[in-house]
Amino acid sequence: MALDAASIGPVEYALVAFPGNRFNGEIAPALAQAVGSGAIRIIDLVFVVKNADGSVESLEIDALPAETVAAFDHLDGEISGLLSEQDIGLLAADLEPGSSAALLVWEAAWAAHLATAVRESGGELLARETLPRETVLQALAALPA
Amino acid sequence: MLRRPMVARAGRPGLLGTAARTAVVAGTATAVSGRVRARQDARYAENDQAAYQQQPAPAPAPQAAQPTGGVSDEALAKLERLAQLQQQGVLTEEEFAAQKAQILGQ
Repeated sequence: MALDAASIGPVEYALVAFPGNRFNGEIAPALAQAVGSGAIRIIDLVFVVKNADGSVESLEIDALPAETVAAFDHLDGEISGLLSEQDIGLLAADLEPGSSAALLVWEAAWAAHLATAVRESGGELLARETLPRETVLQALAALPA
Repeated sequence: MLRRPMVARAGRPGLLGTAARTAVVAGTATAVSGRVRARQDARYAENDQAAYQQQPAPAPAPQAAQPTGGVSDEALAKLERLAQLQQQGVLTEEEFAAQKAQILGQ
């Protein structure tokens, strides 16, 4: 299950901010469902704190309180270190001072499975893209009533 | 269980730097990524002429218009906005390419 260049599918990231300096594991069950269904595979996780003075600290999971560690540790996946310090710095720029965030990277495993199935059926996946929500909303609004 | 075969996070371009370069070069930067994307583009595209040369142009943007020096933040902001407009269908691919060539050629 190591990260394999030949088989890895599309990769997405999510930055989930929380006001104040509090990490909790409340998003973990929803993530566990997505992981358990085979939709996604977690490949990196790091936590970021932006202090009131604007300085940024990144924390690995084991630096968090035990109950938070436990909540995330239930997830199947790995922390690869794929995100660099530079990446974390870029994303932290969007955080408000005095807030914290979980930064997740996952492989859209379902898309990789689909691509494999297509290939094995003799087909060819010519295009696949995740559309921005704004684009979808515009298209929905333009549908005739 | 989250396994932790982690390598050091320091001293690598990482994941998003690469994504940002690709997005700005291919003109696929999207409105939804907003502020983060804009900043990534500005940060990374400045000193990344190599990527411009390697990427296939989305439309017949003349090679002569490729930048020879750094790309200013202002130019990148314009490009970002144009990419959004193209994505939204306001600009055609040709119109986007022409604008892009003009901006990069300045």
